[in-house]
Amino acid sequence: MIQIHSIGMVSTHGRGAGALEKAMEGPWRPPGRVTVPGIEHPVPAFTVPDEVLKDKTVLKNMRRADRTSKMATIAACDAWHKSGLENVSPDRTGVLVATGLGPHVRTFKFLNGILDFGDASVSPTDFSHSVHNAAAGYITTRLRTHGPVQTLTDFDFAFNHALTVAECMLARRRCDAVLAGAVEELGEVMLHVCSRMADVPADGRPSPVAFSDNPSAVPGEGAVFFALTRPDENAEGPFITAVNAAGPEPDITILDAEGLSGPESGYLPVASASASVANYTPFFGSMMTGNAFQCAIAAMMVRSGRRFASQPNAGERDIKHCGKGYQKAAETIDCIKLDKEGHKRTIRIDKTYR
Amino acid sequence: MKKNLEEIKKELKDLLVESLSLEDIEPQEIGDDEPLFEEDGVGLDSLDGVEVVVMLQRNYGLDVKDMQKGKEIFQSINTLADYVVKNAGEFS
Repeated sequence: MIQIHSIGMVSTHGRGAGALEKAMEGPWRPPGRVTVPGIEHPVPAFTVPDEVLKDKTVLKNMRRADRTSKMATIAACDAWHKSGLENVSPDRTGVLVATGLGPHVRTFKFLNGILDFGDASVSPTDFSHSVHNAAAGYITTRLRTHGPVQTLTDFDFAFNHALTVAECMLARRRCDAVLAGAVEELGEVMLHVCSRMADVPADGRPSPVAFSDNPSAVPGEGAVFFALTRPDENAEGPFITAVNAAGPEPDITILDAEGLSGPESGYLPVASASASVANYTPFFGSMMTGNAFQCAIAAMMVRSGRRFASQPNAGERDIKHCGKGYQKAAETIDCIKLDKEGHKRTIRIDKTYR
Repeated sequence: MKKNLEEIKKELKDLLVESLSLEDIEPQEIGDDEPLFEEDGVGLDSLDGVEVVVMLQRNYGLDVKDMQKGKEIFQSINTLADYVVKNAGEFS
């Protein structure tokens, strides 16, 4: 079990979990459109506004950093500075970064440099930033932490793995605090892949609870980090009470059907048996570590007692969709993700210590 | 088509700002004689120096291997442009 102290976030709606929360309070708005070489029409995408990445304080001396590192650093630093954990020893503070594709935009730039100019003329800056641990390096440099640092890469369960490692670090008392989060960057390659391989709806509105075998995806980018400690049973939650474990029926089941992991009909049995089903992908876009954002929203709902309406509300099946309002505060929320082979992973968010 | 000295200076300033991801500085704000690697100049550091070497290789086919010579060449836009003009075949 892990206690969440604070959340830092960078999303298409701006900086902070509050920006996403505000967006979820209102009607759904379509994402912007970006031009992709080789694609005739601009494609919808949930991109992070450039002005969010121009913070001169947090991003000081980071002019060489790419969007992956900048988004991760802002989200991680915001989570840390809001956590009240700044007195934890730097030697006992860990950093875990989960990502599906890592700094792939920089990686392709580095590879293009080799192809275009030969290996004797590659940029050393592109090389050093093309490694997956670059973002974690910037975070630890900025926060001056010296504890264990790891970047976990997986197309489906990177964030789940990060939470498992965080729990181990804390339970084994190697760390007293861990910053764990996820980051995904949107670049031309990802946009191209989505445009060619996924069903990108023209209006930019994915239908994640349609349980389709040909799901829609609208690519997104962003970063979300959680400041975590061992649980204090007297503290107010939220707690991450279980990673990859089953348990009693949750009040809300969030399905991370983000459109990038193949057929989504496998979610239907879970949804049919759930008291209330939700998915918030249409608010931040399809990402391989989108379940980190779903967990952040779950934590926000558990903490505030509010329910954010699942968007869009398909409604045509016998599914109880999570509605907006205060009528019944959720105390337990499961965030479920399936991979292409149907393997299921669950992250349980609880209001109280169990 | 051959470029004149002023065109090369402008090109070098554009390349510096883009290649080194310089923030808060526009190419035209870099003075021709402004020290590139001093705090009271453009303020580039040693990693930028390596990037400038790569920039000259990629854009002008010039290979700066002698670091002592590099210090002289990299003093300012004027010294860089002089080096390009004298050593890159397609420029005058």
